[in-house]
Amino acid sequence: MSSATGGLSGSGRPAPISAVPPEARGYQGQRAGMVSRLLASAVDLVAVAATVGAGYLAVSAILFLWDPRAFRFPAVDRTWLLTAGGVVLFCYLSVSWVINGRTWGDLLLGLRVESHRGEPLRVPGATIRAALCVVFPIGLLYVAVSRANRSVADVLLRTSVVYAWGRDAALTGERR
Amino acid sequence: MQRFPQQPRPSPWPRQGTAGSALAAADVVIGIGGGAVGFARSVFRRGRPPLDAVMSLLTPAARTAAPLAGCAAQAGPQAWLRWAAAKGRRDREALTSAVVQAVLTRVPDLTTALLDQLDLTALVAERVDVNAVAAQVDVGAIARRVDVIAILDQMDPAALTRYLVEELDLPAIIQSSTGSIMTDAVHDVRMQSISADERLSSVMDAILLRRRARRRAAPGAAGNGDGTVQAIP
Repeated sequence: MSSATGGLSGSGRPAPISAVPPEARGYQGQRAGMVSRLLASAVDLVAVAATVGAGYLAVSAILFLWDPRAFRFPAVDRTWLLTAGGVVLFCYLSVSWVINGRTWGDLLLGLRVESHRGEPLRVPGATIRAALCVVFPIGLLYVAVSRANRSVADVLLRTSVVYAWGRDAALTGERR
Repeated sequence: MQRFPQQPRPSPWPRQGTAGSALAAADVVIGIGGGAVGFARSVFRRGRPPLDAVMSLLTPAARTAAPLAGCAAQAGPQAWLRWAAAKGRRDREALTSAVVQAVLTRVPDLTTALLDQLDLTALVAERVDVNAVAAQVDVGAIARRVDVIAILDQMDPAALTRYLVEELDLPAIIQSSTGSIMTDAVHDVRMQSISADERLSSVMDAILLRRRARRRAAPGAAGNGDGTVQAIP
């Protein structure tokens, strides 16, 4: 049981039991590879696409209520669609990284974005990183060839995406 | 006067052979010795004048010798020896019973006194291989005989539960478990993605002819100090 509890703390009380499975504990705090990050990004893209679609339906509903007789689904230009998607993705990434260092995709894959000090990103860092990810998403592929499992955004901003399955670590920014 | 049958009598000694013969001889000696002792005691207990003493000596001597003489006269030496042996056997059995009774009476006190003089703990520690004894103990059999229900009946489940909840911070465990490991499917997806990361990194490092391991440890993470981590299984 000692391995599960991590032994007694200095005050004599048992340390909190880690909820991370034993086979995954060795990976916690290490930079994630490209597959995990791509999967997390895919989940984020789905979330963004759902948000954009929901926005489109909301606009359509408003137009329908405004003039039901003349209602037609609005035609969306590809440029406008990409722009809207980019804006939503930027906001989504920025807010998620500032709040707890995780997007929904990161939460599903057990990842966390942190600064070079191992802390959650602050607003400037989160916004700049989100802008880089939106404008230059292909920079994520650099993880495959990087010696430190870093993307282009990570190299420029000295950030890291690490395996962090524990929920407490996500909320407090503490390492396991 | 005691009469002795002429036909052969069963042997008073159940055991045959050398041991039986020795016991028979001992009984004969004891019988004769007992008669002699009784005679001597009769002689020396009298404290009368010499004449009375002489007369009194003759009386018990005659009483003692009369059966022997009668035996000798009627049955010969063999019957007399048989009579002496029977008397010796009774004396021996009485003496043995008295000795055994005396010894048994004193055994508890002697044992207690002996144990008081011994340091049994040190003696056992020095001369007994406790580990070898313990290795022969069937712990499983002992465990099967333990009445767990009776033990649990003596405990306070509510207090025990409160203790466990407080010491283990159970709410935090439940919260953490439900938050990070929602389902087994999520766990499998995460582990498979980690494995895929490892494989892809290995392939890319092989293509790029890299020999050194990747520096996966993020700042603040436990590693080897130079940013590298040990090989992950």
